[in-house]
Amino acid sequence: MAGGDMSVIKRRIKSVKSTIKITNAMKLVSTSKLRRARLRFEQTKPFFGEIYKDMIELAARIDVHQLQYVHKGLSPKALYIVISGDRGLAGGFNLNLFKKVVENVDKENTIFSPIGNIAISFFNKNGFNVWGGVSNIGEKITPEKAYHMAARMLYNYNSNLFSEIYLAYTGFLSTLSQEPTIKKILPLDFGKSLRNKSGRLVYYEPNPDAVFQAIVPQYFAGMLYGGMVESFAAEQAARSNAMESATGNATRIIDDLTLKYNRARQFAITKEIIEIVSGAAS
Amino acid sequence: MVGFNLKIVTPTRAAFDGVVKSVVLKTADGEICVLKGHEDYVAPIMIGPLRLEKESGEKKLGCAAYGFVNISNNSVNVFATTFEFVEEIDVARATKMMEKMKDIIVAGATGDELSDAQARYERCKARLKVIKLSNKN
Repeated sequence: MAGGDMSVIKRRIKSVKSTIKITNAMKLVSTSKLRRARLRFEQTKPFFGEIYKDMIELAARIDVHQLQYVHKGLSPKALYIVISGDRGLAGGFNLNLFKKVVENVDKENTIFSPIGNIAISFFNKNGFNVWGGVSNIGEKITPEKAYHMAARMLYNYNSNLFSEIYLAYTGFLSTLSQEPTIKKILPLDFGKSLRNKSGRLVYYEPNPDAVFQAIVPQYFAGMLYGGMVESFAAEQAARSNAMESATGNATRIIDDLTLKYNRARQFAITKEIIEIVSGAAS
Repeated sequence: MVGFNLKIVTPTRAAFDGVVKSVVLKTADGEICVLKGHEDYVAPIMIGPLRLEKESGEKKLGCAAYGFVNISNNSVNVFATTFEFVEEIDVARATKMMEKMKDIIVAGATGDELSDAQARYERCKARLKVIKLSNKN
């Protein structure tokens, strides 16, 4: 009986050890990917932050309301671009984002454009309206690719397929903390108005319509690119953390099992001695 | 302060952030020179040279490609697809890239590939032009 117990424990120790090998390797991979991703994110940050700030400010000061990018179109639908990771095993990274998105939307009137394998399968499996879907792009995204993606979405925005665009991604706060974030991209109506406050007029050259036609695709592409770069960095950080705690947990399990194994071994020896002694006594 | 704050950012880096006396940009309607106290202004910018003069009087020349400029409350933000100062431009690389893009265009590329190649071609052309401009001065 005790011998059987011992071999079961031994087998479990062996399997947990091989799990540690995997989690440790994954941690190393994501840590080295994180270093690169973080550098790229730091470089993108000024553009990403500044362009959003400026667009909100411009939108608040604009006094021409018939522009297609400024007021809400006729369609009742909204487009959510959800940027997830391409792989799992990153703790709550993907699920936290989906949870936040699902809480915030009206399922009937929302079209989802998932980016990343996990988002594609999540939104398809759960019966959401899915449009498009791109995977395995986070690591190799270039501003040019983002520009083409944005152009396609804008085309549909302009043909009134949907009248709002939101970007859902995971913000990289630090290596230890990532936050699901939803940002409104279009229309440029953020509910604030500075028009009366500042009193100064903005001069648009050649005219407001042409200016917004030219800068909105740039702004949208910039946001999309920034969101993907930031999400990728956050994903690597999340995975690195998840794998680190997995390795820690597995080590604890091994300690536990080793203790149990030693006890079982000791018990078996004691039992044998008792058997011998009582055999000799009788 | 005799100058104003200028920021030049691209999706891949912050190229410049500092106080300058003047900056000359190429907008859709031609070149504009921005000095301190410019009115609030927004305009798309085209591919072309960008000149700035620092507070110290040091002049710098660069090449900006597609984007827009936002002047607000005496600070200037330039958002560009790409931006390089003259000293950052690799002439050999730009020349080579231009040839390569030309081949792609001639070979009959379509869609995104064509527009990317065209944009890159134009950017390389502009970079080389800016280099020529700096050699003249």
